[in-house]
Amino acid sequence: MTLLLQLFINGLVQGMPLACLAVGFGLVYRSLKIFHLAMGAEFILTGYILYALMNWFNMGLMSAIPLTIILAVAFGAAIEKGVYLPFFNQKSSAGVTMIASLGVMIIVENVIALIFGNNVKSISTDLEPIYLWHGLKITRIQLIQFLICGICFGGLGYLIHRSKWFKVIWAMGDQPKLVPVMGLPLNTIRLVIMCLAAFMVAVPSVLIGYDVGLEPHTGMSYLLTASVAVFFGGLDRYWAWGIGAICVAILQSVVVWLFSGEWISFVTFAILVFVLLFKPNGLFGVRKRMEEE
Amino acid sequence: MKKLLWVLVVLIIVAFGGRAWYLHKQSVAEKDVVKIGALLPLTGPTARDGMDALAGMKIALEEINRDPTSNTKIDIWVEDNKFSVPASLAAFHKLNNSVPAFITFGAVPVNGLASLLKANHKPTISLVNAEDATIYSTPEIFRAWISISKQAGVIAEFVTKNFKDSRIAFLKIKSIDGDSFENVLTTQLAGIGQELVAKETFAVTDIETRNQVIKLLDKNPDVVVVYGFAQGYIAALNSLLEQGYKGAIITNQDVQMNHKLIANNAAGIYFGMPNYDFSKLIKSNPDLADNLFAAFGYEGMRIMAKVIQQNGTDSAKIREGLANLKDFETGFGKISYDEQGEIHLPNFVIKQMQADGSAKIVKESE
Repeated sequence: MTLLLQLFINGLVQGMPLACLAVGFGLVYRSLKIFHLAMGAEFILTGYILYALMNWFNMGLMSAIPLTIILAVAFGAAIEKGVYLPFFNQKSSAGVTMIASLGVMIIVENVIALIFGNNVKSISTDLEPIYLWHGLKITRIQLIQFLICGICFGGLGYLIHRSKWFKVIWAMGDQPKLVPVMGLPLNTIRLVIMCLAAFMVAVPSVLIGYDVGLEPHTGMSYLLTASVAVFFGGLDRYWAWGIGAICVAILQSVVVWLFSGEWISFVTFAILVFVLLFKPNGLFGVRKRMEEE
Repeated sequence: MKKLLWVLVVLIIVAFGGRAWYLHKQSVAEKDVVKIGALLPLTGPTARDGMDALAGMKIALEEINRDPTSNTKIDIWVEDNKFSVPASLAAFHKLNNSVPAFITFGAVPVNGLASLLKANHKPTISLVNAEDATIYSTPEIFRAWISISKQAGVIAEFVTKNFKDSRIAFLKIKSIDGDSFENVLTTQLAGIGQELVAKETFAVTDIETRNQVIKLLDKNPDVVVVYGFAQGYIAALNSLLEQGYKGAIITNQDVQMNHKLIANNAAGIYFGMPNYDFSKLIKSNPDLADNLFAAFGYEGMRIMAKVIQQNGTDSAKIREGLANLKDFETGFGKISYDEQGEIHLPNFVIKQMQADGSAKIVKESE
């Protein structure tokens, strides 16, 4: 029973960074209608920026993290300005933009592999302290991941529901054509969305990289799990992305308990197929009228 | 005007004549150079490894061609196989008529090329492991890397001799290699009447392996055998120690890159790998220290060059030469091939990690 409870807690803790990644994917997918594959590139690049700042420029962890996140947000802005916006202005189809996004992902992944090599790079060189409570274990970095990602996810959710500017971002997902009609700066809003998404990817990337190290080819795996969390929870509710992420992470943990680690990917995507077949709007999705689709 | 025209005509004739003479001289010179096809991943996820192998091959080429006693100059024709079968096939067709032999990198590409190599009788050295079935069914392919079953055999023997009656658990990567390793390990354990107390799997791209490790440690093992590579492998080893595991870890790779492991459980970590003398490589390029891809590139190139210099450029004779290669001196020790293309690497040892990051041999090769 302790084992199951331990795995459940691990799932809960892993769910928070995944919730942030789900926001990074969901914001771009919902508001800009782009299947944001380049998010995988943002995820891996952020970790390697931190590694480079600490190892090449001898920066301390605490001073390197803010600069890493600033550079990661700048990279998100560069993707918008250099790739997504030109395709949007040319009225390219979603498929074309998705291929371009995939291209960004592949280029970044390969450049990182060339510069840093395919070997795993460790940011932290010490074992994390572990906290024990009634036979249950949690490491310090797991706790930090849970708290910081929880604050980021909750904070952005609060802003989206309370702040006028953030409400515009959310509303853009419902009625994208109304934004310019209402005299709002469409390109600026697009840029803000990409920067916010990059921020929400950068925070878990730094924490996960610090926890388990860096490898150039892990971006796609995180991107796909985050997209599953968004569709599982429901695309049109912000909080559902977080619930979806936590559910997926807990299910992945329980799979290990019930069967074996080799079934994690199978179960993750089986959930997605099952939900899309029987609840196309996700578990907490909003049912729309046909004319709203 | 007429003069100018004449000057122009003469200049054109001289230019074309000179170019024709240069090309003729070059083709004569190239006749003395034997080119070997090198199909390496130069782009894609394994590009860095392919480039390391190429660096080793180039060092070997310099040595070979500097040797005044050799009458045949060797060169390589490098093509990017992108670590994929389609790119390897394209590269093979491009070079097939121009080279007598190949050196390839990557299990996937060489498995995909096997039937073509066999049909065209092109002897090939595979720098990185190929499936056993491919090696044994394709007499043209010779392995430069150790086979997984051989590696598993040495490690399993070490486990059964040194950790008899211990509670042994196994953590493996989800791959054919992982399954082969498990088969050898469980068979050897069965031989002494033991079985694994727990078994778990992780994927090559897994970053998070805590749950698998927690489940494994729930069975209280004294020994955990870990087989794997890449991100999932490092994550699994980290998780083992992070969860407070203090027993022995026996694994397939040098874990020097991971300081956490060395600092916290050095005395309990053992690994089985070929023992290589890197001094020659380091002399040419200090960055290649401990780089086994460069080592296999270097030795693979030396083997192929030696066989070509002894047997000429006929593909069938090169294949015969490889099959008959015995006691060839390398950084691994004296290596030989058998008729099936299987390599005999003598210097396969088990090392124990030390707290200062070095590794001490605890089981010599036999």
